[in-house]
Amino acid sequence: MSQEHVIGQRDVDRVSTTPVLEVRDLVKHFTARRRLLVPTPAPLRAVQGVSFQVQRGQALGIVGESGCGKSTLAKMIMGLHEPTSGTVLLEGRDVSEIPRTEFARRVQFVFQDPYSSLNPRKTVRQALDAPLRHLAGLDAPARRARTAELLDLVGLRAEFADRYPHEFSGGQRQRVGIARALASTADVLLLDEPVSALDVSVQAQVLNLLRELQQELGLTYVFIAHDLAVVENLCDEVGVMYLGRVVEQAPAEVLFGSPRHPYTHTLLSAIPTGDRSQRRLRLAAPAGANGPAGTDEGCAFAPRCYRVEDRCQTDLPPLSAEPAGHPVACHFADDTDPEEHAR
Amino acid sequence: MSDVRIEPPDTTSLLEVRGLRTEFVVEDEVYRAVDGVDLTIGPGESVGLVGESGSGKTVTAMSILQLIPDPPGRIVGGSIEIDGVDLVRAPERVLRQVRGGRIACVFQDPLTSLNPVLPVGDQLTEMMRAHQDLDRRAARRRARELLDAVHIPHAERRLEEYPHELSGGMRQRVMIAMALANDPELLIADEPTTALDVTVQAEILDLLRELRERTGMSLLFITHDFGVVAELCDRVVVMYAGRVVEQAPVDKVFADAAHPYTRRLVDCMPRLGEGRRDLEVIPGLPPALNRLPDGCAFAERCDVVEEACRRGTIALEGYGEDRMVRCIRPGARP
Repeated sequence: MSQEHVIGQRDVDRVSTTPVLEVRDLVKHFTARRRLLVPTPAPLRAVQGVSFQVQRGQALGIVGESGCGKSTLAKMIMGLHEPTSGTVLLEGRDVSEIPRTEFARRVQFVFQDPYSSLNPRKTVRQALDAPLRHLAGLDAPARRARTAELLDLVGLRAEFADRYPHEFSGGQRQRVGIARALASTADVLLLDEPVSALDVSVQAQVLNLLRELQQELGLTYVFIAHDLAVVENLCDEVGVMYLGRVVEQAPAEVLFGSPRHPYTHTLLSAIPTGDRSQRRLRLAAPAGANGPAGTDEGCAFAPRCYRVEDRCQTDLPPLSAEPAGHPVACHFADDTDPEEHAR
Repeated sequence: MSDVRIEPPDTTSLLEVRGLRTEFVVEDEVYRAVDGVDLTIGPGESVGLVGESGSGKTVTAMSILQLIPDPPGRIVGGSIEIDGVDLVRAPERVLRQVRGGRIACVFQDPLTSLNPVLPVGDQLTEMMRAHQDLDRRAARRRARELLDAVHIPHAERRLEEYPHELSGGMRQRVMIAMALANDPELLIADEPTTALDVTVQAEILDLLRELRERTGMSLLFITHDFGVVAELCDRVVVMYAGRVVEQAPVDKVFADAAHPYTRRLVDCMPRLGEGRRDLEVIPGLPPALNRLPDGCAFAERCDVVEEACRRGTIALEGYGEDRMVRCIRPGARP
């Protein structure tokens, strides 16, 4: 696969530079504990060979439904799960060889639920103090100044520094979570469903903030979400995951404008838009029909696919940009128009 | 205060909520969660109740079902009539017949609403036998029919399964089957698809639409998602800070919202196909429910506010031929 396809063709002169973050053939199997006299079940293959690159200042969106492995992927990048195989590279260096503190200065996580990821007994100042001291290496007066700066950056008033998490609304807490991630000097943020717990009006504020910060500070995002409209609003490039594999990847406007994988078509058509005349694609089988991830026999989406043929049951389609277009893992990538094939 | 109330065109309404006020008292602070809600649902009608967290939509639904925990909550005013029976004043004996009988409900998280130690078949038959005179065998047969009706494959086998053995979408189908068990006239669904994946959500919405067409039941659908409302509902009721601020046919709310809050809420949703762009935002936060301001609760955040908005009580009044708005400048643009 040529490199242009991995990052999208929008910015050719970036091709020569090393991507900020790269993931190569990442695999994660979860094995059940061995028990006496009980046959050990087959390992759960949560992530089955995912590769991508993110260039500086880009936002890569990872979308997929629950159980597709998107959060496991994020945790492997963060070092919270040890990959079964594969590597994560930060500016070309294998992260398993980068000291934890150094890694933490560059890459930070923003969680879905800011309430459970902030210590309820620490004020905002105390929450920001640890990364400012240990990662940014600032002395006390500098930390005080930087705290005020960070709060201003995420749109919180300076006097909020001495408040506790419970005194904030959900949106404000998510701003604190973002400020804390930035306190470490990180320029790569992994955002795991950062707005899905927020109300629509607050979600819009946080999305705008993330976009501003990215432009101002040149941040790089890996943005994990299930809401396609939210992903389109923030991301340059989007990967669609299904049962542990990336099934399609393209620049956002290409993916949403001319999808090629039947699963992407299905996802897009499932979004309630309010247009009742727009007939929804019918899945060939209900959503519960597929088993857990785990075989290399055939395409994992085959049991639900409207475009399925015999060979889909036996041949695993590779993620390929051939003959033309962006990478997609489907034997019939050039012939998936739902108008022609859906029942 | 003008007390104008516009009757909906169909005067034979199934459910009539009038002036409902529900309060919560916590540490001597009074929180007015629902502050004078009027809501009418006609037979066979599908109404979407929309609002952000804390706007009072779930408290409204819980009040209709008389399930407000007391203390700290209490219905302090208004009436909720279904066929002339006022549920606010009805004895518990009557309420038990109504809940799960004429009015059924489905909640967001089916796993916490189902009993984890009973097979779903037992839960379905128990539900029916509490309301109908059925023997075990007949109840069992009806349970199987219900699972068929909500398109659960291998119904006979599923009856023996426990909730944890079912996927989220299947559990929500079981909840809907239980809700249908006693042929309700009204189904209250509180964010029933919020916890589900989009493809599963699409299936549940299709199912609800199909069941509504087949049984003719009314639907009160509570959600924060306008897209979902547009797919399923005839009429939308928008709540803000415990009050209804707008009521209108679904298509009008999208195209031409009359209340400034509705207009801006619709505007701040990201929509597919619009690419990377700054979203409209509503500055500020909703008022605290224990410190509701005089006049319009949205005044602080409104882009067409004027002096009169902050005085007295602003009534929900007719606007156009089929809408109601709680605003002294309905339809105004900045």
